Amino acid sequence: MAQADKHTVTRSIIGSVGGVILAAFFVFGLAQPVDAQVAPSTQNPPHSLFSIALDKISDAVSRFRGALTGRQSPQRASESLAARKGVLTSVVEYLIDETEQAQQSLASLPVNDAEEKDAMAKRLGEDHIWFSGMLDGISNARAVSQLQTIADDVSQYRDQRHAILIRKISELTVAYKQRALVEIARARVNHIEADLASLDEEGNPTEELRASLANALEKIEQSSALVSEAIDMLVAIHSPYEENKYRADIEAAHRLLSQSSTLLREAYKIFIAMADAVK
Amino acid sequence: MDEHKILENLKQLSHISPRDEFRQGLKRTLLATTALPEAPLVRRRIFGIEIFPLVPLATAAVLVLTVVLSLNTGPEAQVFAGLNNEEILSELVSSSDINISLNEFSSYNDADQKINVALKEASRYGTGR
Repeated sequence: MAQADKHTVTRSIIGSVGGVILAAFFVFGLAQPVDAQVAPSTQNPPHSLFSIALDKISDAVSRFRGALTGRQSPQRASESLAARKGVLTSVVEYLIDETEQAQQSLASLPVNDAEEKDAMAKRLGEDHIWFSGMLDGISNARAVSQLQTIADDVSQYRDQRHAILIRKISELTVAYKQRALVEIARARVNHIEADLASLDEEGNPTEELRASLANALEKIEQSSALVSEAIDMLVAIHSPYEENKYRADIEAAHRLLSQSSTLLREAYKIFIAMADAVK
Repeated sequence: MDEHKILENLKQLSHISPRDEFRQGLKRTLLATTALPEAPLVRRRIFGIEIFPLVPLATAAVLVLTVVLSLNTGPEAQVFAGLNNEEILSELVSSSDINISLNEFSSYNDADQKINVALKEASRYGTGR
C-alpha cells in the first residue's frame, strides 16, 4: 500500500515537472518576438571543415617524416613516395575546398562593381581548374623529382595568385556583413527617436536620453566610416598581386573592421542603458 | 385464550434465535454491502504513466505561468518600439557574431603556416624512386 502511494507521488512529481516544461515550451515558444526570429544571420563559413583539412595536412606531414627515417630499401622508397603524395594531396585538396568556399562567399557579396566581381569569380575558377590539374599530376607522378616540382609550383602559384584573392574575398565578406549591421543599428536609432518623441508628447524629460542617443549615433557613423574605408582598401587590391603590399593592406582593412565592430557594440551598450532608464 | 396463556406464549417466543449459519451469512452480507465501493475511475495511461494525476497538475502549471507572464509584460514594455531591450540584445548578439568572422583572420595565418611547412617538406630531397 505504502509502495503504491510512493508510486503515485513519483508520478505526480513527474507529471508536474512535465506539465511545467510543456507549459513553458508553449508559452515561451509563442512569446518569442518575431524580430528575434528573423535576426540577421551572419552565416559563418564552415571553418571546422577547414580545421579538419588542416589536421589532415599535419597528419600527412608526420607520416611523411616517419617514412623518411630508418634504413633505405625499395619498399621504404615506395612508402616515402606515397607519403610525399599524401602531403601534397592533402594540401591541394585543402586549397580546392578553400576555393569553393570563396566562390560561394563571392556569389553572395553585394559588390557594386560587377566587372570586378566577375574578374574575381573568373580567377577563382582558374584556380580551381589549376589545383584540380595538380591533383591529377600528383596521382600520376612516379618519381620524387616530379612531386618536388609540383610542390614548388603549388607554393609559387598560391603565393602569387591565390592566397591574396582568398584573403580579399574573406575580408570583403566580413566588411559587407558589418555594413549590414550598421544599417540595422541606424534603423534602431530611428525607432528610438520615435520613442523619445512619444515621451516628449507625454511631457516626460528626454534631454539625457537624447544626449545618449546622439553619442550612440556618433559611434555608429564612425563605425560606418571605418567599414567604407576597409571596403575601399580591399576593392583596390587587383591582380597581379604584389604580395607584400597587399598583405599589409589586408591586415590594415582587418584592423579597421575590428575597430568598426567595437564601436558598434559600444553604441548598443548605450541603447541598453537607455532602455533600462525608461523601464 | 386468556391473558395469562398469551403471556406464556410470548415468553416462549423470546427464546427463538437464528441459526449460527444464518447469523454468519447475514453478517458477511451486511459487511459486504456497507464496504465502500471501488471508485469507478477511468485510469488511462500514456507511455505507461497514468495521466489522471498529470492533467490537473499540468493545467495548474499552465495557468500559473500564464498569470506570471501576463504580470511581467506590463503595458509599458510594449509602448517602446525602439527602446526594447529584447530586440536591442538580439541585434547586439548579431553584431557580436561578426567577431567570430574577424577571428578567422588568425585561422588563415595558422593555415598559411601549416601549408608552407607541408609544401617545403614535400619539395625537400628524400628517398623515393
